[in-house]
Amino acid sequence: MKVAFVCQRYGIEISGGAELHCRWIAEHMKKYWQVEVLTTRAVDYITWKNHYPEGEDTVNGLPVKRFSVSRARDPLKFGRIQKFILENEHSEKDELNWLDEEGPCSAALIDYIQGHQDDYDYFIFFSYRYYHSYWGINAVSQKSILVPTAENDPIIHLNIFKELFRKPQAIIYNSQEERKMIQTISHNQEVLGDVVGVGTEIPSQYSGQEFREEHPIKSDYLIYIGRIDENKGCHVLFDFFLRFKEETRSDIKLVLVGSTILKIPSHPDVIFLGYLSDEKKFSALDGSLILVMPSFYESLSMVTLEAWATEKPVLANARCDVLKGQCQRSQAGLYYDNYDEFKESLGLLLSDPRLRREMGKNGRTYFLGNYTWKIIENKYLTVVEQLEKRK
Amino acid sequence: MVKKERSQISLNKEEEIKIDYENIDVSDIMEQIKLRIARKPPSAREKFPRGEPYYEPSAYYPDKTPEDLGTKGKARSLMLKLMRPFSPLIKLLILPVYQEFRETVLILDRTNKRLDYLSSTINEVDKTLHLVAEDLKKTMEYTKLLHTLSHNLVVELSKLKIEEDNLKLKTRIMEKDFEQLGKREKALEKHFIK
Repeated sequence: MKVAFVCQRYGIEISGGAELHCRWIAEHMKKYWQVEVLTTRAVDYITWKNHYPEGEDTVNGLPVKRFSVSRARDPLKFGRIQKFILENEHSEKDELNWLDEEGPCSAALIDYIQGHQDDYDYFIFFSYRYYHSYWGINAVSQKSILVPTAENDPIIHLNIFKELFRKPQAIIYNSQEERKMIQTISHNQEVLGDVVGVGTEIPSQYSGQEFREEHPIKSDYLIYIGRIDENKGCHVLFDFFLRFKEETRSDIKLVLVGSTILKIPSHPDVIFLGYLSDEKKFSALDGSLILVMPSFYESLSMVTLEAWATEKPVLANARCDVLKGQCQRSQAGLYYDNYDEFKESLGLLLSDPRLRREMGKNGRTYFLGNYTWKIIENKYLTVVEQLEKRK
Repeated sequence: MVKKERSQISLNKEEEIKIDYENIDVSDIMEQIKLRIARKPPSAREKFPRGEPYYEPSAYYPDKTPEDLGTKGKARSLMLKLMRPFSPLIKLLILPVYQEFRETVLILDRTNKRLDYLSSTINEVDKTLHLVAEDLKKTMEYTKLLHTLSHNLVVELSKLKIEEDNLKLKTRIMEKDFEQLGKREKALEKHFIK
């Protein structure tokens, strides 16, 4: 069976959620299928400028076909169009105009998919909101599977997407909340679907103790891993954390790992470490007491799964349905909706090592029961088997 | 049969969160946290919004307002109010005035001296505080600069790390290409030698 994975960007150095998700799934499914990746030449998700050479490439043993992006995105123009469609009555033409600006606009990729549809049994499209998924699914809907990686943001309510979610042969959701949201919006219950998500690569060696020795962090610390950005709720986290410190006189520290586009407050207990390799990231996680996940919009949160894989409890933003649902299903995390809840939940977790330990164990059990690669691979295989039976 | 242990832990002495460690229920814990936040006693001003009468609790009649004290209490309160203007006269009749006056002057004198001493000490402390504040301000500015510097350094190091990874990747690709070219060269050599 030959399966094409279609993604907006693809490469080892691309660490964005959906792109990494696509790469990991493709690399694991090559054991079962003849896998090929169809993508653009872009690396930068702001402008989608062509970066990689056009044509065939190999990434971690997988054949990759890259197609040119016909025009780079102008962030200012895109911002204006998005503001218009979110705040005004608009037509389908306006939405398609928005989609062209959203990009990555690669007509060559869509032409290839349409022209070579007989060469593949299935096309698995990642991220519903981009040009390649919309036009790709419209071109080969009879052979398409969608992995939406959708968040509960206003864009999902555009009319073009209501139609889109009814077109693929199957949808592979990241969480139950995502499935519920998409089914409520598009009434696509008849489309075959399963909640799958993604596994995670845990390095064979990591040590919290070594991390603490390497970085002289003497007291206990919370950790945030990911892009340090307003969209990820980091500004609220800083505010809540500093208020918590002021009111409780706790000596807890906040360690931040990841690239930043936000000014980090100048405080001795807020420690910014920047980008870390996977091994060091897991060591940092291992040395922490709790992972904090303040994001408002998440489709799955791979970092949360990594925390549970390493038996760490999570303190998450309750305004993100997915994070709250994951905490309730795993019994491995508390969540907050406002500062009072943040203060009480964090205070409880910090004051009770046994609770942290038990929640960590629950997290590990949840991870092993739902997100090991064997389980993820079997779920993908089952979806394709069911589609084959329908033929 | 699993023996369920119902344990209790305490965050503050006045409130408790009940946790069944054998069978953790996150929703239940969050409900308890929400209840606890809702139960937190608001301050007296919040308890009695503006416009409503608020009486300080009486030491003798806790939690009772003058309206609650009954006829006897009201009469007593009224009598005490009427007698208040005459209390200095009553004291004058009872106490030896001269002795009282002398003691008061002595107390005033001692108080005056203490105030002088305190005033000079406060002036000294004020000067020292002023110096410390200036030092602190300088240190804060310096710390801010250091923070910005370290922040920028970490950002730059992150970029360099990513760049290094990219370069490593490119090197690997070039090595493979080089290897491939070598093979091709050998193949061509063989072809032409034949």
